[in-house]
Amino acid sequence: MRKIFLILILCLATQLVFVSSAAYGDSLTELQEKINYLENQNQSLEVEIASLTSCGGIVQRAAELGLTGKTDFSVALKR
Amino acid sequence: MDRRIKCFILIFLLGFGAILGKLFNWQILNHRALSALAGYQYKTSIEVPSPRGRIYSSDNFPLVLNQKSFLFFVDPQELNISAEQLREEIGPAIGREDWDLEAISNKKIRFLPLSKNLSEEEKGKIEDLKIKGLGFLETEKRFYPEASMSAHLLGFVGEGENGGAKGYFGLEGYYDQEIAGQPGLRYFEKDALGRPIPLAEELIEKPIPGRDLFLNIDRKLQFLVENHLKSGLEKYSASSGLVLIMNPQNGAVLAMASFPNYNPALYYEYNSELYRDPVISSSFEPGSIFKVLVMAAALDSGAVKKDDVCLTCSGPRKISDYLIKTWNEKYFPNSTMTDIIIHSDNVGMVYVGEKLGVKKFYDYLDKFGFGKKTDIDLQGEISPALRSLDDWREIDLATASFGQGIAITPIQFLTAICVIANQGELYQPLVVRKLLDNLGSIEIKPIKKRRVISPSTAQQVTQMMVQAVEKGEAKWARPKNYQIAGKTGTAQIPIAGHYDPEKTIASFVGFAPPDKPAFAMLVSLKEPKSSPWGSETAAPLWFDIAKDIFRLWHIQPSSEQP
Repeated sequence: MRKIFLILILCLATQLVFVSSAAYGDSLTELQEKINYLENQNQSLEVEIASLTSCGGIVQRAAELGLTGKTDFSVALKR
Repeated sequence: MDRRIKCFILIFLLGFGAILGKLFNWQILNHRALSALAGYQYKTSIEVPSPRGRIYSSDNFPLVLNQKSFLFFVDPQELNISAEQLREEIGPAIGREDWDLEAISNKKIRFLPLSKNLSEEEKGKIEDLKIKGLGFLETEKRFYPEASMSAHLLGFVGEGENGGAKGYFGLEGYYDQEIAGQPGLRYFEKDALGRPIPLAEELIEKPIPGRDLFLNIDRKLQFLVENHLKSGLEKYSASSGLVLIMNPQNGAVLAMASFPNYNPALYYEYNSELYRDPVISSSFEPGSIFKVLVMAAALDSGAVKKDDVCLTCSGPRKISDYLIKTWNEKYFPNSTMTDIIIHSDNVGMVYVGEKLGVKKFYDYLDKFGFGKKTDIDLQGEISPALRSLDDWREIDLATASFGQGIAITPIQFLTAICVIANQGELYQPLVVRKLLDNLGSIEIKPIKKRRVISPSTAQQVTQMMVQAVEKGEAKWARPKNYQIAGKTGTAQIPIAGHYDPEKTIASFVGFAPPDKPAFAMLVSLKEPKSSPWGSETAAPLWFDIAKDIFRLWHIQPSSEQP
């Protein structure tokens, strides 16, 4: 009876080890996916910010808003 | 126990032992060899490109970034529609329909790339169609926030011999190894015929990203310069032009623009002739802007003194079979050396050249860096060869003294002019100031090459150049209240053994403020049609750009107001 009980405990312990390592694997995958997602987001934002703040973008936007003269770029850029 | 049972147990144990032994042999003793053999049979690998390093201007603004893009492929075995249907449904969405329909219909193929550099939006459109057998591999492409600005300087990324990304021309070409990083490895399982099964994949070696480049280029200045140059080309109807700006104190390249140029994101749509940067890859005869260097050599060697009087300036000079005249056929007897520069007097320069002599002239050309590359950190630099010392005839020395019959590159020339602006010391031109990766940064310090002329010679030539701006042909265009050291130049273009009488290269070179220059700039326009003269085309363009630089960098007007 004692032996059977011992075997059962050993089985349960083994199960626990496997379950916890599987859970660890799951969380590792989740974290990796999250890192990839954030890296992608970061890259997209970097591209978007650079597009919006580029010299060409600023001068074009300023011209659309009627803020600058036709060729006085240095003033526009200094602002 | 029954004997038969014992026998059966024995046979069973022996069999079990044999299996255990074999498994021990396979899994413990020969594990590595067999595992490698198995891997070889069902696995294949492909290189995973590393993210290419980004490029930033001096204000840490990105000039080149990476953007996610996708390689679109089809698995014909899994495809549940016909090749024609596929083309009709997807072609218009991504603007490409020139696919090999026969290959798409071939059910023996498991992986067929259809299009690359797709955006996330295009990928989304295809995925929305929910067609089986289509897939995407994530890749990266270059993104240029400032569009085609600095195209020649940056270069572009194309395909290398193995199909991977490779940088060509400019910075992408010169720093390709540093920017490229180390590719990783992705393992695929393969089918019985050795074709990769892309859905069963495993990343084994992570790619190491390339180094980022931080430039000396001033982004705002670069933008201004390109806009000025573009309008200058239109205004003066020139076929091409370039502007180069350097910091004479350390050789840093602050702006570099030339037109016509190309869009590096769509480089394949342009004539490959446009890929070469004229600033470093084209040679030209400089004309009168070269006179200041010859004068510097003559003053520094002691061949002439600043107040010496030209004894042969009263009329044209006949040398061999050639008659040397001034550009406007006006002659100034008893000109001083300063007058010769102010009047851009060819006959006067012949006098200076003769005083200097071929040997010293040649030595100074060498010291100023002509006849060899400047070693600027851009791919594609050339260096036109200098005529060897023994081949100089009297007429060669005479014409070279006013900048004709000698071929140089714009970068060689401005680097030499920086010597005058920098008290006689020559610095190597540098575009990149820092490389950065995950392990840290590598600073690129200014590289001082040698002293070429003495500080007092540099100051004397600077004063002559100031006088040339204030009293010379371009005085009408100079900005008021600012002192500028400069020189105009109009060079004829050599064609098939003679000079084209109609076409010129109009240039202006200078630096400001003369006592402690913040910048040195060369403007050169090829074949301007509104006027052939540098004083009426390149000089006003130079002054327009300079006015903007004064405002942008808060450079105060000179206290000595001319």
